[in-house]
Amino acid sequence: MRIDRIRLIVQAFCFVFLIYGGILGFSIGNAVPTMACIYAEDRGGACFLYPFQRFMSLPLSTLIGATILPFLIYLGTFFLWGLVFGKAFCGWICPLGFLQDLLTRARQFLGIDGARFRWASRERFQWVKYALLALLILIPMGIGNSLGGLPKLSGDWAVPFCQICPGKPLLPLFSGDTSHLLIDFSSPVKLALTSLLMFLTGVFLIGGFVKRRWFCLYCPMAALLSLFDRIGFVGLKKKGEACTRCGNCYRACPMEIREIADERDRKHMVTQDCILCMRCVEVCPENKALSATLLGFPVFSASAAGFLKRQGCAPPLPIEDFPHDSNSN
Amino acid sequence: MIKRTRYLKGILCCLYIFLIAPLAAADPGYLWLEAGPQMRRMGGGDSEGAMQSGNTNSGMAHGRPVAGPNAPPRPASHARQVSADGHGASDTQSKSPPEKRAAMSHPAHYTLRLGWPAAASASCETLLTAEASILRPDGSAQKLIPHLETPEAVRIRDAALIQGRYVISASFDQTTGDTHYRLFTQATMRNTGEKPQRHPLPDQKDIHTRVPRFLIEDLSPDPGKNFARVHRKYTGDKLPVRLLLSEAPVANQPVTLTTASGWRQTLTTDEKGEATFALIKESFHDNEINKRPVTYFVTSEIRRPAHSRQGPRGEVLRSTLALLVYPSPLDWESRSAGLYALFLAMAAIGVVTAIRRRQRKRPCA
Amino acid sequence: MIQIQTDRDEKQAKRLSLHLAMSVREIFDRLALEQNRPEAMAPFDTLFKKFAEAPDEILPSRPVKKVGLYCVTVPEELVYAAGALPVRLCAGSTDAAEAGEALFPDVSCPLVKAAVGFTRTGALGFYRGCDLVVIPATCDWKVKLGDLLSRHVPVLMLNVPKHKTTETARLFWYDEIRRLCRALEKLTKTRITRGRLRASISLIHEAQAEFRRFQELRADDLCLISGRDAVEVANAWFYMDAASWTGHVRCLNEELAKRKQRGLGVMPKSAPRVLLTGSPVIFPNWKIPVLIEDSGGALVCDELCSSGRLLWDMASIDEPLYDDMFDALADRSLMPCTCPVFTDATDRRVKLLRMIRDYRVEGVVHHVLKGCHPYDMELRPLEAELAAAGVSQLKIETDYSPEDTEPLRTRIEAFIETLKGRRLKMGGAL
Ligand code: SF4
Ligand code: SF4
Ligand code: SF4
Ligand code: SF4
Repeated sequence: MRIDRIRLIVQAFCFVFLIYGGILGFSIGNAVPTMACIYAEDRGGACFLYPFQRFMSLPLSTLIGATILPFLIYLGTFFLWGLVFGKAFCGWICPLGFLQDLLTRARQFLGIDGARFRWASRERFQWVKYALLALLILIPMGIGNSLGGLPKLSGDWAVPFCQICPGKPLLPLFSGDTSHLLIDFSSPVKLALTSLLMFLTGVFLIGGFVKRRWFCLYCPMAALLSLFDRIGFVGLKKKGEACTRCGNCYRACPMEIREIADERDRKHMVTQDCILCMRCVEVCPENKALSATLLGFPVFSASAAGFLKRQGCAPPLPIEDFPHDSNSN
Repeated sequence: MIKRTRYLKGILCCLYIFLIAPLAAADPGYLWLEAGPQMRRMGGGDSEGAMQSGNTNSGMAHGRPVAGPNAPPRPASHARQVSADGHGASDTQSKSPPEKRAAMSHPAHYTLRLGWPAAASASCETLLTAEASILRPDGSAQKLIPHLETPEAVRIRDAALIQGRYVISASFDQTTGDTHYRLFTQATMRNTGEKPQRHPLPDQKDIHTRVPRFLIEDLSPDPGKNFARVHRKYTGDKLPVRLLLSEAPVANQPVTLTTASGWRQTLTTDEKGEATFALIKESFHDNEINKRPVTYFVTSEIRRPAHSRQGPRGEVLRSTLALLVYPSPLDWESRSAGLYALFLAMAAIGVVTAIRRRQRKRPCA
Repeated sequence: MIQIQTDRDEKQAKRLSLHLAMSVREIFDRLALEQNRPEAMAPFDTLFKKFAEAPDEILPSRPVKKVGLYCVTVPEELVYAAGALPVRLCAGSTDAAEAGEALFPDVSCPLVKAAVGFTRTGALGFYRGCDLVVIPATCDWKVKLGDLLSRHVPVLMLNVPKHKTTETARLFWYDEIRRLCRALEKLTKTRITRGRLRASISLIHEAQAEFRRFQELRADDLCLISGRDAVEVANAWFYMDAASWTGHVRCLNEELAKRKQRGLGVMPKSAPRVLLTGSPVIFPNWKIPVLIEDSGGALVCDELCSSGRLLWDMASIDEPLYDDMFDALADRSLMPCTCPVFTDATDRRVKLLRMIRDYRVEGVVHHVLKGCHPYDMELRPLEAELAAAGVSQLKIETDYSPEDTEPLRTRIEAFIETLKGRRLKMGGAL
C-alpha cells in the first residue's frame, strides 16, 4: 500500500483520538507537540503551545521559583515526545496537518492543479515561524514581567499565538463548537487579534486548498520540533551516490524541500521544514537512494520495484533489489 | 456615571446605618452565601453562589475559558497567576492547609452574609450561630460549622474533593421583637476532582434542625460531565427556579429577582412552585468593556401570623438564591462579524490567488 | 536547377540505400554465424533486417502521425499521449553520414551528418515522412540541425536550459514542454487530457520496468546477453511501438532469466567486465561493442543516451493532475540527464561510479565520436576523476566509418589484456 494512504489512515485515527478521545476519557497530556487544540472540548491530548505560553506569562520569579518543577516536568514531557517522534508528529499526527492534507485531497478530487512556491518566495517566508516562536515567548513574558522596564502588557495579549492560530476556530468546530469564529470588539488588542485570526483562518483554508501544507511553513511548532531533527529517533537518510537528482522527491515533497533532491553529500535529510511524511522515499525510483530510519536502522527504502508498484505499474517479473551487493551504506 | 452610583450607594449606606438600621434593627434582612477567596481562582468551577467580584479570565479570547492553564497542579501560585493575567485578586492568597486536588478543582468556600440585596450587607459574628450543610455529589451530606476567618467574615469551607455538583445550604434564625425571622439560602457549585465512588451512604436526612426549610432551588439544566468548561450564567439567559417549603413546592408565591443595581422583577410561582426569570441586562459597560460579573438575587418571603399569644407573634421565612451573572459576551463579540470576516478573507484571497494563477499561467503558444 | 538537384539527390539516395543494405546484410551475416544467441532476439533482428530489405516497413504501419525525435530529452510520453508515434531519428549509418557531409565542416558529428544525409536523400522514408520533427537544442550540432532539416520537414526546436540547477531553467523547461504539448495537440488534433497523459506515462513505465529488469539481468555475473545485443534491443526502441517493444523485451527477459537458472552465459566468466560510455552507439554503427566483445571483453553495461540511459529515468506522478504530470515529464527528461551538454558533470561522474560498483565493472571505455565536442570536453576531467577512483580506462576517438577498425581492434585487445592481467594481479580467479 502506498505510504501516502497509510499516512492518511494514521492521521485520521490520530485526529479522531486527539479531537474526540476525551469523550472516552483518554488523554495523553497537555504537552503534546502538535496542534491538538486545547479549545476542542473533547480532546484526548492537548497542544503544547497553550500551556507553554501560560507558563511564560508567569512572573519570572514564580516561574523559576514555585513552578519550576511542574515547568521542568512539562518541558521534559515535550522533550521525550519530540525525541521519540520528532517531526513525525507533523506528518502523521497533527490534526491541523491532517486538515491541510484533507484540503489537498479535496483539491485533487476536484482536479484543480496545485500551486508551488517560487524558490525565492519560499525562502523569504522561512523566518516567519521563528519570528512567531520568538513572539509567543516574548509577548507572554511581557505580561508577567516588565521587560526592560516597559510597562506590562495587558491581559488581552494572553496566549498570543493561540489567539491567531487557525486551529483555534477550526478544530473545535469538529466537536460542534462554533464559538471561536468571532470578532471581539472589547478592546483594540482583541479586535486586532480576532480580526487577524479570522483573516488567517481564511488564508489557512484557501492556502491549504491551493498549496500543500501551506500553513506548516509558518508553524512555530515545526520550529520547536526541528530541535530534534538530528537527534530524533525517526530519521531520513540519503545515499548520495545512488541519487540521480531526478527531482521526483522535490516535486512530491509537500513542504517543497529542495535539499532532498539537490543535495547529494548530505546524509541526514530531516531539514527544518521536513514533516517526515516519507513521500520522497515513496517516489524515489533509485534503489536505496532515500531511506526512512528508526534509531538509525532503515525501515523503508526507496526502490525501483516499489516505485513502479506505487505508480500503478505492476512489473510482470519482480525486479529484485539491485545492486545485490549493498556493501556501502 | 459609576462614580455617581457609588456616591449614591454610599449615601444609601449611611442612611441605612444611621437611620434605618436603628429603627428597623428588628429586621435582619436576607441571608446569602458569597463565594470566598479560595474559590476566586482562575478557571475555578462555576459557583452559582454569590461571588461579588469573581475574576473574569480575561486571558481567554472572550471570557469563556476552557481548562485551567495547565495539567500540573500549582495550588500556591494560582492567585498570582490571575494577577499575571491582568485583572484579578492578588490579595486573595489563603492560608488553607494544602490539599491534593485535581487541576481546576477548588474547595467550597463561602462567606455568610446578612442584609438587603443590592443595598447593604454584613457578615457579622452573629452569623456564627448559623447552620450550614453541604450535599456532595456522592450523596453524602455534612454539616459545616461557620467560623470567623477574618474579623469581618464568617465563612464555611469544605474540601470538595469529589467531582460533581455540590449543594450548599445555610439557615439562620433570629428573633427580634415580636417576629421570628427564619432565613435560608442555597448555592450550588461544580467541581472537578476524583470520580465519586458510589457506595451506599447512611441516610443523613436529619442533619437539618431548622425546619421547615424554605428554599429557592436553581433549576438550570446541569451542563453535563464536562468540567473542562466553566458554565456560567450570562445576561440574557433564563433562570428557572422552584420554591420549596419543607420539600414541598410552594404555589402562588411571589418571588423577586433583584439585580445588582436594584432593579426588581416579581413573579408568582405556578402550581408546581416554579417561576422563570430572564436575566435582564445590567448596566455593565461604561466607557470600556467590563467583563466582570455582578450578583443577582432571587428572594422570596413568607410571612406567617402568630400561632398563639405565648410564642413569637409572627414568623417570617425568607430565602435567597444569590448568583453571579456575567455580561453576555454578545455585548462585545460578534459571531456574524467573525463569519463575514472569514468569508471575506477567503473570497478575497481566493480571487487574488485565482487571478495570479491565471496571470502566471505559462504561455503555451 | 531544381530538376538537376532532384536528380542528383535521387542518385545519391539510390546509392545510399544500396550501401546501407550492404552494411546491414554484413552485420546480419555475421550474426547468423553466432551461436548461443537468445532466441527472443529474433523480433529485433527482423526489425533491423528491414533496413536492408524493406525500409518502408520499419515503422509500425498504424495510420497515425509520426513524430521524429532527436535526443533523450524529449519525453516520448507526450507523443504517445497525443496519439502519435515517436520515432527516434538519431542515425548511425556511415553511408548516410557521407551523404550529408557536404553541408558540414571537416570535423563534425557523424550522427548529425547521417541524419541530414537520410533526410536530404530520403533513403529511409520516415526521415522525410515524419509529420513533425522535434529537436531539442542540446549540442551545437543539434542546434544547427534544425535549420538544415526545416527545408525538408516541419521542425519544432525545443530550447534546453544548459545550466539545469537553477529555478529559471526548470520553469523554462516546464514551459518548453508545454509548448511541445500544444504543438503535438495541434498536429494530431487531439487534446492531451489527464487520462491520456496518465495512460501514456503508464505505458512508458511498463517499458521502463522491463528495461530495468533487463539491466538487472545484465548485471549478473554470467553475462547473459552480449553487449551488442543489448545495444540492439535498446536501438529497437527507436523504431518500435512502445507496447510491442515491451512485449518483446519481456520475452527476452524471461528467456534470460531461464538461462540464468541454467547457468548459460554468452561470455566466459574470465572475460573482463567493461562499461561503455560516451557518444551514442546507433545501428548500424555497432563497431565498438562488437570490437570489445571480439577482443574478449564482456560489455556488461553502458552509459549511452542510445541504450543504457534511454529508459532508465522514470517520471513519478505525484498528483494525477495536469500540471504535475507535465512537470514530472519535464523533470524526468531534463533533471537526471547526464548528457555532457549540461554544465554540471558531477551527475555523470556519480552515475558512472555507481554503475562501476553495481555492475562490478573492471574497465571503462570512453567512446567519443569525432566532432562530438561535449563528450570530448568532459572527457579529461572525468578521466582524471575516474583514475583517482582506481578505474582502468580507454579512450576511443572514432567516427562511423569502418576504416579505423583494425587499429582500434589492436588498442581494445591490448586494453582487455591489461584488464585480464589486472584481475590476475588482484588475485581474482579466472
Ligand atoms: S490555538 Fe493553536 S496553538 Fe493554541 S492550543 Fe489550539 S492549536 Fe495549539
Ligand atoms: S508544522 Fe504543520 S503539521 Fe507540524 S505542528 Fe505545525 S501545523 Fe501541525
Ligand atoms: S527521487 Fe531519488 S534519485 Fe531522484 S533526486 Fe530524489 S533522491 Fe535522488
Ligand atoms: S523531505 Fe521527504 S519526508 Fe520531508 S517533508 Fe519532504 S517529502 Fe516529506
